[in-house]
Amino acid sequence: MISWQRPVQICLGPGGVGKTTISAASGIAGALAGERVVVLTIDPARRLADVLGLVRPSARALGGGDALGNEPRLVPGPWPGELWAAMLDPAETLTGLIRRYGGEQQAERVLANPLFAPISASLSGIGEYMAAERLRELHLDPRFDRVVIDTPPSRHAVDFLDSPQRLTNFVDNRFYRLVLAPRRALVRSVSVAAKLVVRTTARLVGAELVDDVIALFADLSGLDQGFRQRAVETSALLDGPDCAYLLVTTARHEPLREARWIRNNLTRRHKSIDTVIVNRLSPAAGLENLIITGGRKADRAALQANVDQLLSLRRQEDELVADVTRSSSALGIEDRGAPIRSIEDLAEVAAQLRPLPAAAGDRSRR
Amino acid sequence: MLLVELEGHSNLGSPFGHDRLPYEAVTLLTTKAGGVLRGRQITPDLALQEYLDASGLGRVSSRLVRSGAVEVVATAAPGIRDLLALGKIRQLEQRREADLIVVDAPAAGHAVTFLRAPTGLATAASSGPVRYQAEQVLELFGDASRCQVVLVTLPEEAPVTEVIETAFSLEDLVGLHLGPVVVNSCWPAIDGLDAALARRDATCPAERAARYRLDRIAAQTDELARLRAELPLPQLELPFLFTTAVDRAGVDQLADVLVEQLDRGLG
Repeated sequence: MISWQRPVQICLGPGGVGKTTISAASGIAGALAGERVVVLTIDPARRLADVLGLVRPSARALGGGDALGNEPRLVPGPWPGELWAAMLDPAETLTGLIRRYGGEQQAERVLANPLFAPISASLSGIGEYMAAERLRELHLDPRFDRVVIDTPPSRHAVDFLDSPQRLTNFVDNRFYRLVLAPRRALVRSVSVAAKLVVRTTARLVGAELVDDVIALFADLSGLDQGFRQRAVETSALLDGPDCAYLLVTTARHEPLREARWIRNNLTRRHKSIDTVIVNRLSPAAGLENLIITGGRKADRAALQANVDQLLSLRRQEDELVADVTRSSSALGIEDRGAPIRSIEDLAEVAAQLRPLPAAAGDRSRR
Repeated sequence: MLLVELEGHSNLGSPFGHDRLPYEAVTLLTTKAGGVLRGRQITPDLALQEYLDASGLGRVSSRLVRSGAVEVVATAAPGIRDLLALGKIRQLEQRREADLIVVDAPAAGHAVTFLRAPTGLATAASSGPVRYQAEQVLELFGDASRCQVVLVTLPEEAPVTEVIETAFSLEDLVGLHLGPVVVNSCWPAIDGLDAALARRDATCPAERAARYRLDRIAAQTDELARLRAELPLPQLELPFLFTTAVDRAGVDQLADVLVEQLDRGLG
């Protein structure tokens, strides 16, 4: 069962397993139980974005920078609670942070640095951090009882958990201190080492790039105190009892390999997966030991051929996920033949998540 | 033939009994016709080490790594690691290590970032070996006789949308030439299943299972049509094998299907 008692629900998992669909569906499950839920998505598929009334970042870019990209929108639906959906805009979140801690002038300098755009655009590390930041902002927002977040599709999905540290590591980096500190350094060897490092790096990538890196660090300086404080608070939220972790996967070798890797990494961090969701299982309800009778022989043969293939696939799937589902509470969601086209379709998936009705309003922890 | 796995979880070696491909190439199979399939992995870190050693910078390389300079530059200019891997691939191509080098590139979301690395770095780095390396890779990318991209997708909404976006980004932003697009895991139809369902009680389990398959195939047909309409490339279709992992026999079966479709004149 999903841990409905915690106000933050983090959906982890490899790419392409329907993580966003599961996030949205569990948002609906919450709204059906009377909660005010906000679902923060990263890059939903077009149809799902349409269903949730969201504008994808690529479409938004064409429209010329919609300032409301980060803002949750209310999704109308037949439930007693509220469902809100938002899409992460990493660049906007980062710019907002820099404005808050550095002021308008510093923000402008940082934004003008040619390296700033590639950093904020690439979803490696910084993107995850912005997701964690946005999660914290929404968690503190009194409009919502619960935040469901669909984590970014990264090569290693657990990067998300380390991400608050990443930015402070970046500004704390020894190289940064070497190149910015030499004039203040008392020990001469430090600045010699710095020069060697700068010179060698410049030889590799060209002096201009190194200058830009140094300028970016100089512009970012002074921000690190504020960033560090925030990173500590965000880390505390991610590590604390308010967060429930959901691991979404499909019953295929590649995603499962990644899912096991994610689970083991969480364990190493003394966190555990609250629920494993095996999505898109081959539907097998009532097919086991089924005897098809009546009608034409050819019809029975066609039906039987289909049943045999679905069952054989499902047996392989069940066997494959056995180790993952044995160690945590697990939910299996059967695949839908047709794609999700409406809120009603999404509600059907939500029904398979089977929320505990008593949990609504009960905020006590396990 | 040389198969190249990039760091990550691509699992390329497993049908051939290798859990993880090593950095140095190993033979995966030899054919009766005398063909050889080899496989190897390329990681940016080893490629960097090799590169620094070759350019006489081996001694400072450990200091560079320890100082965190590489980390900073790699974070600031994220394409550096990708460029190192691509530079290594280009070197293999120059040395004619194989008649054909097949690289299992990162998944769609990361593929454009990966393949755009040289373009970005050629702009950012005004001089030095990184710029030279980037220009060499871009030259390879721009030459259709040396390099082409084979896009692989699934007959589902998100993967089809992604592959269409990827195709246009690769052509427009990177200048790469696109080969055929391969649609993997296409569910085969069962003859007479729709007619059978029409004659029976649709609420019983076997009939619901038939409905599921027909819905799935209908959605798949829509996506294949959309892909054909939006991406004017030859389309190859591989069947879903109703298995959770493709083993050696499965790879052979898929290879036969590919060869058959290419023989029909798509290549």
